[in-house]
Amino acid sequence: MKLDVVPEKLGSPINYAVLLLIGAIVVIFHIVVNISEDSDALIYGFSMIIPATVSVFAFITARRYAGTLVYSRAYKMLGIAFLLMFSAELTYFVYEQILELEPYPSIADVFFFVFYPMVLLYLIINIRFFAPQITKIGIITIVGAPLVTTFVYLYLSLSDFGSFDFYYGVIFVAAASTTLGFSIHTARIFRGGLIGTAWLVLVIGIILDVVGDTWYYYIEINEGYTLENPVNLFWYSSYLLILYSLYKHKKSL
Amino acid sequence: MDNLLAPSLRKSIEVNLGKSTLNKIEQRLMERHGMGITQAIKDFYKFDSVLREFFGAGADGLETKFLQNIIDLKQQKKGTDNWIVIKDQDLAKIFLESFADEDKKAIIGTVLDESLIIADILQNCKVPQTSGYRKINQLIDNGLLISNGYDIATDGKKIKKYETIFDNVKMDIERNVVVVKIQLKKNSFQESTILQMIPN
Repeated sequence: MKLDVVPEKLGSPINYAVLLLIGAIVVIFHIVVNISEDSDALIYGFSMIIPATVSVFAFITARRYAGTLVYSRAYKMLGIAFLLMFSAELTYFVYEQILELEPYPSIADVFFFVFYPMVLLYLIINIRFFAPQITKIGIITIVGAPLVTTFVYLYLSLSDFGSFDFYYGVIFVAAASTTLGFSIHTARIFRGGLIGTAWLVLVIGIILDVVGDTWYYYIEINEGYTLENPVNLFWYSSYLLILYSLYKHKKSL
Repeated sequence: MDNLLAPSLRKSIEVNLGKSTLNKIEQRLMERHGMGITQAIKDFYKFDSVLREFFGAGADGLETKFLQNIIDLKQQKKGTDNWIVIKDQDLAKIFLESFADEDKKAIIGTVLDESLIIADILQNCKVPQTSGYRKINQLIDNGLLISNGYDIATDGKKIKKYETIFDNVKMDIERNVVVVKIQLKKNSFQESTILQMIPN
């Protein structure tokens, strides 16, 4: 007879099969869109469905914690962030496919940009409650991550110094990497706890997003972005990982 | 003292993190230490270990936040002679209602300086037995009275003695908010694992 033993420590290990599945989905999708002749609808569909799904899942989680001062507010912010991302993708689609206008730069970038402050609010609500006093390492992480990332971007795009694309890219990369700094700090707070794994997955997701953003603005300076560019792999896997982290967080608490 | 704070701490978890989180914490406390949350809060180190299992170092902020909602921590750090300022209005209401009730006030007055068994309390404060027992039990449940030693009855049985957890209480109403300041007895302060968690 199998005994139902109380575990010494609660655990929530990463399911590597899920990570493999996420990897397989984005790679197979990328191969399919690159070999098919008319892949635009497929790419736009995928680009809109993923943030919309994350947004819906975040709002469902916020509803589960309805009325609470931390989780309800935090998940609403994350839901709004991904709703903005969905709006940005939709606007991008309308500009390019319906209005036949150049989508970069456009109003879609406003939605893309406001995504970051909303994710930051999600992180700050958690930090303010769980660790209102920031340690020295925390300050170094929060300040260091955007500085290092932005300097890497500056170094890579120095050839285009002074152009509109250069400054535009700096703003977005700085905003994206600020969320990275805060998310690493938050993951450090929860490290070792049951929800620590969920936060680790979230950080990996945000790292992929930052890599994707930095690469994207670098591409815009040099060659110009196309829908089939492999940079999409980073964004797709980033959002799917964030979705997985939300699922893990919800399952843990 | 922990008896008094436990219900407010429970409410604080629910308000901030939700009922499902509270249920998970309670479930873990039960399977790991065989105790409910109110009991575990009195044994704060066990409560703390379970919070750490869930939130890692985030447990520190969580505990401070709980206390902030109940006690004015800034005043607490500055305070001397074991005075604490109660911020939680439900907790403040318990004090206000207890002193507004003539019988309870008399009971508290009787055991302010010495610990007595229930029969002696009732005799000294001249409160009817039936309502007196009920009111003493309410004061014990609310944490205002605590058991402190025993008396030996004529048949050799041990009978619990009770005393208040405080030496003095000050109550003010500032802009419709009840502000209760209590001067804890030295042992009440030292035996409270919750108050010992407050960083200096």
